[in-house]
Amino acid sequence: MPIRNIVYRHLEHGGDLTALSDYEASGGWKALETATAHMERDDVLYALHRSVLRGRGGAGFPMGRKASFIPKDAEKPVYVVCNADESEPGTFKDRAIMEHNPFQLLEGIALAGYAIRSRHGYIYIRGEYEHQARALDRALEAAYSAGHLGPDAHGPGEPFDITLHRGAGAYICGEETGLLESLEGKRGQPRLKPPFPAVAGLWESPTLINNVETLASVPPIIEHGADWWAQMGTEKSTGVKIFSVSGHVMRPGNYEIVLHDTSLRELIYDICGGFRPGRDFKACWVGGSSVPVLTKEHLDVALDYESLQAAGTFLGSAGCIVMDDSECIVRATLRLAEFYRHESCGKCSPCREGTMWMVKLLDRLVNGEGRPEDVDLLLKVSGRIQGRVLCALADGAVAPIASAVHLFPDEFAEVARNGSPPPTPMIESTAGAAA
Amino acid sequence: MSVQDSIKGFGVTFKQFLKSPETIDYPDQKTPVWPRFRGRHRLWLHDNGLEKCVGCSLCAAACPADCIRVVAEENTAENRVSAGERYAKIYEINMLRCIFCGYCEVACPFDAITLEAEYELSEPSRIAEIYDKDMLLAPSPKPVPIRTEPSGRQ
Amino acid sequence: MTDYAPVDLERGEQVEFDLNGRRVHAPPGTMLVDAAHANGVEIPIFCYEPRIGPPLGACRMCLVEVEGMRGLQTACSTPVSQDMVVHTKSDLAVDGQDGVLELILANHPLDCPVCDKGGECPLQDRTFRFGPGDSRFLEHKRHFPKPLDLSSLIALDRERCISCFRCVRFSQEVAEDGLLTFQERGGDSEITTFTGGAYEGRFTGNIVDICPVGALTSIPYRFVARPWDVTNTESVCGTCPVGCNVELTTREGRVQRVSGREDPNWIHEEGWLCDKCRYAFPAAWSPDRLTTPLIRDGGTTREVSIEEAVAAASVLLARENARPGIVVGPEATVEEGFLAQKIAAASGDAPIQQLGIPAATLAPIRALPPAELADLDGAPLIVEVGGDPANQQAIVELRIRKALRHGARLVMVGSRPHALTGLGEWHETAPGQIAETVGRLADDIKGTEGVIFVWDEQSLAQEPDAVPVLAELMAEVENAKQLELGAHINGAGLRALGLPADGVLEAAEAGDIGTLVCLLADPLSAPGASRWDAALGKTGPLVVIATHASELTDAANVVIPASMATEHEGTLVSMNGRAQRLRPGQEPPDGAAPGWQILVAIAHRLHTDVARSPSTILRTAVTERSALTGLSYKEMGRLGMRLRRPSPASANGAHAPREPAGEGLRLVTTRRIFGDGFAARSDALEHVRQPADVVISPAEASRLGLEDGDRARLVSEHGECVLPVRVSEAHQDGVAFAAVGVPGAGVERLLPADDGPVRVQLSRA
Repeated sequence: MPIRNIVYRHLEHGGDLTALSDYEASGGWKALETATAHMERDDVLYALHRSVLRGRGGAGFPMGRKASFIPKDAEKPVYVVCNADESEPGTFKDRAIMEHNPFQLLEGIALAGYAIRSRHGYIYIRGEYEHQARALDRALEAAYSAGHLGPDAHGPGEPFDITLHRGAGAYICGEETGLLESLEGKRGQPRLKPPFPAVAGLWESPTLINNVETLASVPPIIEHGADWWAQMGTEKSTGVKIFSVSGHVMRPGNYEIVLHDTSLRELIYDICGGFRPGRDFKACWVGGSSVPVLTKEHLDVALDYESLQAAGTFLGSAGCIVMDDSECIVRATLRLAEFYRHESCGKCSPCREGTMWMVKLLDRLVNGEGRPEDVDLLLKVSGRIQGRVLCALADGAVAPIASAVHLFPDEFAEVARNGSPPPTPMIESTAGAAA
Repeated sequence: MSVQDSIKGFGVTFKQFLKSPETIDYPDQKTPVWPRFRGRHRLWLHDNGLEKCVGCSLCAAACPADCIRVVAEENTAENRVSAGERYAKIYEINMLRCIFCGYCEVACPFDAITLEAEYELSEPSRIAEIYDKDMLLAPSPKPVPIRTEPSGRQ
Repeated sequence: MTDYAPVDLERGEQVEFDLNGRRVHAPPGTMLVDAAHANGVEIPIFCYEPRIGPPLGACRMCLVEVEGMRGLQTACSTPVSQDMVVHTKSDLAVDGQDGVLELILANHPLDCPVCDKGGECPLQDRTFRFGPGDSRFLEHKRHFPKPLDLSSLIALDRERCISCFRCVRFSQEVAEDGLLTFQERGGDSEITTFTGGAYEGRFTGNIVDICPVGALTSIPYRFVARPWDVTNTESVCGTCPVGCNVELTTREGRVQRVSGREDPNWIHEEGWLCDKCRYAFPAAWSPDRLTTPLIRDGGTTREVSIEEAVAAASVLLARENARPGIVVGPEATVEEGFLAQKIAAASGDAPIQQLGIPAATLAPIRALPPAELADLDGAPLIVEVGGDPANQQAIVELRIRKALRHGARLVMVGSRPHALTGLGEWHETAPGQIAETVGRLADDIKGTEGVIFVWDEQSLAQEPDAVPVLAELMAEVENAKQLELGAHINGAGLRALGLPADGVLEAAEAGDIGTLVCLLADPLSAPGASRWDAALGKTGPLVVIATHASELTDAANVVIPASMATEHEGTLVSMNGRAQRLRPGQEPPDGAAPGWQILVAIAHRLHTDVARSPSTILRTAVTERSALTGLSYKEMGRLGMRLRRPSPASANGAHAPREPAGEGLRLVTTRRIFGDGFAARSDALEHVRQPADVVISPAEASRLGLEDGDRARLVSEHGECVLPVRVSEAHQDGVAFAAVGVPGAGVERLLPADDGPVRVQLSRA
């Protein structure tokens, strides 16, 4: 069975581990106990390094390497920040952790803090996740009461605290420096890098900032060992990854699978039940929407970092948006472009103006006011945005748009001539169809 | 010289007697000018009566003779003169300095000023040669015909 | 004004690198934009403004190609390194620059013909030099309601804004007024104030200077002129003792605008101006400006020519038993002060004084090494004694805030809370306790090197016992420097001429003054006004050379209109000893003349040989006054020249504590930035004018039975006035705080002539 329950520990225990007793009964908090009682901080750091655990938020940067950039003798306090601003379109894996397995996240943050000599962690959760914030609040309260967090979390007299901070609804606050600005109470706009957060992050202090899934992967690594994690998957894509599958599949949802062992075809057709009767695969954005689109040719690609990169896209956040042939690719691209325009923070000129321009171009195309040269103009404009911007949002905007133009040239040309066909209704009558 | 040559010569002279004269009886007839003749300036209005000139002063900037003076003012709800945020409260051209190059017409983004077909610009005093906005907005006082044919006569 | 940071290519360590195929060098750590600029290559910028802070990397205009780094880099945030190879004009770099400009211009409205920035617009200029020839943007641009009044002085056009963040960063990181911010996101981002109200403050006009487009424009300058209609003159502000560098913009013979000018190496005001300096120029044509000379003779007032007025004044000085006395006001230039001295000498050595604070007690501090404003930047410790810099010498506030951002420690000693007292360690003193408090802090302060002592002239003149304490402390700190917060515009200059701050008043009271000449001086609006008022009853004819009408000119026998700082040549010396040149941006009104011209004419009628132009007058003064050694118009140039430090005075027992007579609250005064004659007469500052009031603590208010808004009568041993009451918890008991300088308020009547300590009794009026 390809589905695993390592990060989604709750699936093995009745679907819900929000009661502290349940989490402890399932083996929870042992990793932190073991680490603080029997391991040196550097040993934990080394374990993270050897596991080759890569950031699960989208960038895929090895967590151990990032943590090793934190100076060991910093004058300023060191912080751990958990990026719970899950806003990448098509990505909804972190909310399940926070809703059903919150203690694993808290334990992961505490372990990361132990490794880098931090005394304070922050969870920045997107403003829209009110339900999940409450769940985390309850979990924090329980963890503090039981002494897992607080003055002796890292050992007698070695405190570790976690503060929950709610955002107010901005995708750009999921960008690490945008998040830090917002956490500091300022306008959530990314900063120039360098300096990187590991050197000057939260309040110009060394900061380790990682995604929820990444941090929730740490307790199993410490519990079962870095080698156990590393022997799953490939050399560069170790361990398990949760794929959020949505779109025109029969069984959308979150699926935790071992990297590389499953192909995109297997994920869509076997695990997620394929498409509605009479429909077939057309396109898929496999790493959230900020990645180049994949077509039918790519269905057999293995789901891991290197294979997807070789196929011309990125694993990213593993939010798979799957589209069947009932939808026009230009219309879908416009919908994505509108997201990026809406979420652009406005700080840098190419993103602020470029995302708006691309929306207006695509809008004209879809509404039948396009000119044939507009398709080429779209590529030229995106070419002047890519690589010229302050953060990755605009690059993430360009990727799906430019790749769609390159991989579906005929459809774009057709739409430029005649406008796009009307959208197919989402729900079709399925009388007599298989469940 | 032979007699034939003389007759040829006089023949040329005689032919001229048969042609009508080119003389234009100025000032009873005005010498016509080509359409692109650069004469007296004119400021124009939109169809709805608003002035085209917004007082941007690009004409003054372009003028090589430094003969245009523009002082701008804000349009208000009670007093809307032009179609933009501002209008020319004072617009003066010193016709004695003007060299009639037409750069002001080229510079104007709104086609608010053109040089028209009028060349009777003498005045008895220097001060009368400072044309103000009202003078420039009004239709040409002494218009001149526009020629379309090679011949001087119309 | 240049937007790049100064770079020293001569001294110190340098790294070499390749710039567009040329081998150049710059100090290590210099940002590429600045290094390129210093080496003659322009890399375009918008959001980069080194005076505001570290680079932002927001506009992406400065993209260049650096070999070895992928793609394009922002030159504003890339420091130079040894042997780096930079291309600013390669195909990729040019495409980057074209692209950024095309995108910035996508939503930028086609407003150039109606936009005040046109012709002096960095966006226009950089589009010409670095942009694509046309735009491929065919869509509808986004719109905002416009224009809006950001304040009574600044108009905001949100459509033109290119989100460069300069104004927001100035508000938050330089002026630190925390008012301007962006709201909304992405293409809908718009500038607004946090409060939703007007952007009011002491330095708001600077955002007009730094805005690279026409989004922020000056309302007093709205539609007034185009850059090709005007001439610009480099001069110096003449409204406060700081002496900031300004540029006067003149159209058709009138100064229409005052803006900051480049301050190389950011020694003085860094190109920032306070709003009073920026918007005071309309005072030159306020309704009470004097434009016609007058002679008043036994009940009849005649309008005369200036020659006749000068002749009449000369007669009054030269006739038998004239017994003249001359009072010189703080706005008089060095040349005017010197000519007045010559005239006094030629009139039988007549007494002459300035309306200022006597210098003797402060000499020991003035003799210590003076600081430039730039010295505050890197100071580890700033000790501020007395005063109200945020109101009286506003640019000093900006510089101290900058020092605080750089980690300086700020220790303040004084009676009056002001804008900076919340930012450091404030030791609130009752009036008279500065000496004791400084003495208590001395050991702590001595531990640091390079301390800058910022001291207030008026506060220390009122507490002379603190002077030797402070001077001794300064002498014991290594590399200490002192920055004087002077009270009077050209006080330092008139002191350098040796003009005392007393003499004429005493002589007048003794009945020894016949003709009294007031040169740009209004003793009825100065400390000691009551005594002057009484003394004027004993003097003979009154000759007043002034710029605006007043009670004094209404009583004068000869009124000669004079020019203001924007209208004449002259030398002003700033409070910290910089001699700077005034250059006129306009002529004085028809019936007025520059003060120095009037004095030259009078001197000639008195058969005194004086030079006939400001530069030659100064030359003569330099030969006769040792304090001005080395000074000349050429030396002052565009940026001024530092005067020699005055020599230390020997201790002469003039430092006993001064205890004012009588009963009542001690009176502490200040001059509000928008509460003086300039603000009262400038229509641009109409909406920010500050009235006079008296501020007392709640305990004093309840003791006196006064409430906020009541009118109170203040009576001192010298005079009285009536002021509205303001109750403030931030102010200490036992003290009444009032503002001087507000025309007509009469607070000066309460004060002694030397602006010394005084007590007042308050009662309901």
